[in-house]
Amino acid sequence: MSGAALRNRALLIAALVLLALPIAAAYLWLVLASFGRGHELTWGIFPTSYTTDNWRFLWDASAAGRDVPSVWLATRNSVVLAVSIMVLDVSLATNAGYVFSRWTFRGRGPLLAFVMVLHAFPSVTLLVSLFIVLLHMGLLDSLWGIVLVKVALQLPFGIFVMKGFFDSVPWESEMSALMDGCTRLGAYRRVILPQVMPGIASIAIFSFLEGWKEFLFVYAFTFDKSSWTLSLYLQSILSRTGGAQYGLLAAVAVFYMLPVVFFFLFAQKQLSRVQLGGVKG
Amino acid sequence: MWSPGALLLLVGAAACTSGPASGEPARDGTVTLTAWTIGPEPSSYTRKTNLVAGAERVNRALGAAGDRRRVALAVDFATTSNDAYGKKLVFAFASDNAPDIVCGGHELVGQFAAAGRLAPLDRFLAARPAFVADVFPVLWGSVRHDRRVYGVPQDNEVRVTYLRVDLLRRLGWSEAAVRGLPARVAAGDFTLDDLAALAEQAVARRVVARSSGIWHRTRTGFDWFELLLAYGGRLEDPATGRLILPRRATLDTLRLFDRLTDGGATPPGMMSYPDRTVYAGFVGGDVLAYLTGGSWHKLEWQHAFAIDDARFASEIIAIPIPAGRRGQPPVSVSHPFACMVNADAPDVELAFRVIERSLDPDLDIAHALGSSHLVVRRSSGESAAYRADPFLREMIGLLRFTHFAPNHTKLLRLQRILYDAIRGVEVGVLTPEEALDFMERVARARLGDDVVVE
Amino acid sequence: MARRRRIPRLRPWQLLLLPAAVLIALFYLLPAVVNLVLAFSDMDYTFDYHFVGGASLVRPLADPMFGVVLRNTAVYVVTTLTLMNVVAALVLAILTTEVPERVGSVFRVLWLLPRATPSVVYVLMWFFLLDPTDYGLVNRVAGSLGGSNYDLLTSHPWAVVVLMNGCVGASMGMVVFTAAIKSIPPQLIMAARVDGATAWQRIRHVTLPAIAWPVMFVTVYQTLSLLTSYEYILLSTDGGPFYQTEVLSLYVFHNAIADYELGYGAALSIGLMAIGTLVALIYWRVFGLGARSLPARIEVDR
Repeated sequence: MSGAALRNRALLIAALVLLALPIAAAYLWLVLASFGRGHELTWGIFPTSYTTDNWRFLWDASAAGRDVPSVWLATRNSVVLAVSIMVLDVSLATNAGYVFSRWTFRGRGPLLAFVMVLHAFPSVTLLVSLFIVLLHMGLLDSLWGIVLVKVALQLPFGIFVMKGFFDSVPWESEMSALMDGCTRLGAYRRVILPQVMPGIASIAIFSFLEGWKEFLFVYAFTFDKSSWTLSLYLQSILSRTGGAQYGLLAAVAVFYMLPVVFFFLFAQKQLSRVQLGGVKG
Repeated sequence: MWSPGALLLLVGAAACTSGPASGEPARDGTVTLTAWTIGPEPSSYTRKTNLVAGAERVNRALGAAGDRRRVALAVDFATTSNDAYGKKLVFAFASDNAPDIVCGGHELVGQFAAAGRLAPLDRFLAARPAFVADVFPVLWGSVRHDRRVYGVPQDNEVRVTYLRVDLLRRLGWSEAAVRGLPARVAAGDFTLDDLAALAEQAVARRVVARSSGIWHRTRTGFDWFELLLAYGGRLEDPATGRLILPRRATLDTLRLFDRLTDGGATPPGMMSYPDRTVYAGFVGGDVLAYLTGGSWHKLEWQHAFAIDDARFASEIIAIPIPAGRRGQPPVSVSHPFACMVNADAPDVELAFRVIERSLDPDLDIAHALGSSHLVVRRSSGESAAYRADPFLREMIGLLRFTHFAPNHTKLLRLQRILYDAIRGVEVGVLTPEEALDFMERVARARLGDDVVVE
Repeated sequence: MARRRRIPRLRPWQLLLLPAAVLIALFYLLPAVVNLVLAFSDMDYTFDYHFVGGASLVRPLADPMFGVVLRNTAVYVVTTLTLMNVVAALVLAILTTEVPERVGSVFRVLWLLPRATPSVVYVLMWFFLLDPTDYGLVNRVAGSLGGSNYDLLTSHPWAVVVLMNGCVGASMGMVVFTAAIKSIPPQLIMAARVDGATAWQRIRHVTLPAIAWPVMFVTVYQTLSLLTSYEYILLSTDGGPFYQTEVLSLYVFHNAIADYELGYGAALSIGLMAIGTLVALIYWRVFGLGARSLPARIEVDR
C-alpha cells in the first residue's frame, strides 16, 4: 500500500474516532458507574471507589428490590420475545419481499405503496386501538399477542428492505437455476436467498432490537410479573429511586445491553461473510 | 352506547377471552382475592404486608365467628412509577383484569368510581361508626365521589418546603431564629416573598452559587397547585363540582417564578434538571431551599444519601408552604393513599374487611414509621410509638393547613396547563401576564365547561 | 366434496405473501380502523364509546397550540432527517466500508449501541453529558477550559433533541447503506481501481449510484419514523421548554396517553396519518419510486 493510501486510511480512522468520541465517553461512564460506589466522580467520569455490589442482582433477586422477579426470568422472556419477533419477521418479510420483487400480479403497485404508507400510522394511538383488538381476540396478558403485533409493525420495513435486495440480484442467476431444472421456489431457496443474506442480517438486527427494547406494549398488555421482560425490570428500578441508585441502574443497563452487543458482532460477521463469498454475478 | 369491540368480532378471531375466573367462592369457603398496591418507593412495602396481615386477622375473626369463609389474598407490590401504574389500571379495568382490591392515590376514586368500576362502601362504614370516627375526618373527603364513599384512606402525607439549616446559619440566623421559623410560617409572618428575598440574599452574599437559592420539582403534578392555594385561590366550586382557574392567585404564582428566575434564585432551566441532580444539589448542601417537597422525601433522601436522623435534623428543616400574603395561613397539600374495592370483586364485604383490618393501629403505625408517612387513625397518631418520632409528630400537625386535590376527572389537564405556563415563565418565553392568557385560552379549549375562570 | 373443489388453489406467490398480509391486516390495518372509529368519539379512560360525530376532528383547528406543534414537527423531521438519518448515516457507511473490515465493524457496533440502549438509559447518558451542574461531562470540560456552566437542554433544546434522536436514527441508514455497499459486485470496484480512479471518484461513480435506492428508501422510511417518534423527546425535554420541542406525535401522546383523551388523541393521530400519507405519496412521485419499483424483475428481459 502506498504512503498516500496509508495516510488516507489514517485520516478516515481519525474521522471515525472523532465522530464516536461522545458516544464512547457516555458508554464508558455507564460501565464505570455500574462498578461505582457513591455519587462522586473524579475526572468527570471515574467513580471514586469501586465495588461489585451493584451486580448482586444477578444472583440475589432481592438486590434489585422487593417483589421483583428474578433477572433470569426477565431475560428468558426478553429472549423469547425478541427471537420470536426476529424469526417471524425475517421469514415473512423475506418471502413477501421476494414476491414483490419477482412476481407481477394485479394490485402490486398500490399494495407496495400502501405498505409504505402504513408506516405513517403512529404507534402512539395504535396503543389504545391495539389494546382493543387484542382484548377481543383473547390475546391480552400473553407475550404472543405482543409478538404478532410487533411483527406486523415491523413488516413494512422488512418487506421494503428485502425487496430492494432481491431487485439487485441479477435475474440471470435465477434463470440458470431454472434451466438446470429447479422450480421457481427451488431457485428462490437455493440460489437467490444466499445472495440476500446481508439484507436478512440487517432486518434481523432491527427486528431483534425492536423486541428486545419493547416496553410500552409489554407493560400495557400483560398483567402478571411472570411476563416481565428486562425493559420492565429496568423501569421498575429507575422510577422508584428518583434516579439515586445509579450504580444498580447502570449495572442492569449494561447487563441488558450485553447480549445485543454479541448479537451485533455475530450479525456483522454474517454481513462480511456474504461479501466475500456471495455475489458472483 | 356500544363497544367498538363489537365491530371487531367480525374479524372472526377466536374470542377465547382468557383470564382465570378469579375468586368464585369455592366449595370449602375459600374466597380468592387479588390486590395491587404500589410504592413506588421500596420503603412503602408495608402497604403490601399490612394487607396480608389484615387478611390473616379477618380469617381468624371468621373462624372465631363460625363463618366458614376464608380469604386467600394475593398482593402485588409495584415499584414502577405512579403514572405508569395508573395506566396499567386503566387497561386492567377495561379488560376485566383489574384486581379485587385496588390501592393507589385517592384520585383513582374520581377516575374509576365515575366509570362505575368501584363498589360503594357506605353500608359497611355505616356499620362501623367507631372505625369511621377514628380516621382523620378530612381524609374521608378525599375518597368521596358524588356523595358516596368508594375508598378507605390507607396513609397520608403532607407537602412541605425544605430549607438548609446550615446555610441559614451562614446567613447569620441564630439557632432560635431557625427553630422559630415554623411558628412564623404558621402565623403568616414568613411569606413566599420573604422566602424569595431570603434566597436572593443568599445568592448576593455568595452563601450559595447563582441560581442555587430555590429549587423545585421538575415535572407536572398536583404540587404546583399548592402555590395557587397559598395565594388564596380555590380550585373547585363545591356547589357545582367544576374546576376553577383562579386568575389572581395564578398570576401571583407566575410572578413569583418570574421573580425567582430573574433574580437569580432559581435557574431558568430548572424543569429540565435531572431528578438526581436536583436532590444531590439540595441534600448535598449546595442549595438553600427545596420548594415542593413532601414528608416522604425525608426517608427517600436518607436512604439515597446515607444520612441518619440526627444529621438530617441538624441540617434540614421542613415548613409548610408559606402563605402568599402576610397574615394568611400557610398551606400544605395531602395526597392520601387509599384502597378501593372492585365492583366485580367476588365478595365485596370480605375485601372491605381485609382493608379495614389492614389499618389496625399497630399496622397503621408500623407503615407510617417505616415509610415516613402520616397515620390515618387518630388513635395511632396519639400513640407513644408514633409521637416518639419528632419529624412525623410535626408533620401530623400540618394537617391543619392541608388541602386535597379535587377528585375531578379533568384535573390532569389543568395540572399540565399550569405546569406549561410556569415553565414558559421560567425560561423567559412568556411574561406572567402572557402565561395567564395562555392558560385561560388553553383551559377553555381543552376543558370546556369543566373549568371556570374566576 | 364438490365444495372443496371450488376453493381455488393458491399460487406460490400467494402462499408466500399470505402470512405477512394476514398479520398486517389484523394488527396494523385493523387497529388503524379502530383508531378511525375512536376519532368520532369522546372516549376517555372509561373506554365507554359515545359517538360525537366530527367534534373531535375539528378540535385541532380551535386548539391554540396546534399551529406551534405543526411547525415544530416540520423543523424536527427535516433537520433530523437530513443532518443525521441520511447524511451522517451515509458518511458512517462509507467511512466504515473504506477502512479495513475489522476496524469498520467496531465503529458500526459502537454506533448501533444507542439503538440497543433502553431509551430511559440512553436519555440518562445524555443527562450525564449535558447535566447543567458541574456533574455534566460537557460542563466539566468547559469548566476546565475556563468556561461557565451551560444548560444546553434549555438554551438549545433543538440541537439536543436532533442529536439525541439522530444518534439512534443514523444507525439504521448506516446498516442499510453498508449492506448495499457490500452487495456491490467486487469486480466493479476492482475495475475502478484498475482504471486508476481515486477513492473519491470510486465513491462518486460506483458506490453512490449503487445505493441510490437504499438512500431513497431510508429517506422515505425515516421521514415517516420521525413523524411518529416521540419517546426520546418525551424523556428529555418533554416538549419544552414551553412547547419549543413539542411535536405532533408527542402532542398525541400527551393528549391520548397522559391525559386519557382517547377520542381527541385519535383525531390528532388521524391528522398525523394524513400528513404521513401525503408526504409518502409526494416522495413516491418525486423519487419515481413507482416507476423504479414497479416492474417485477422477472418480467424484464435482460
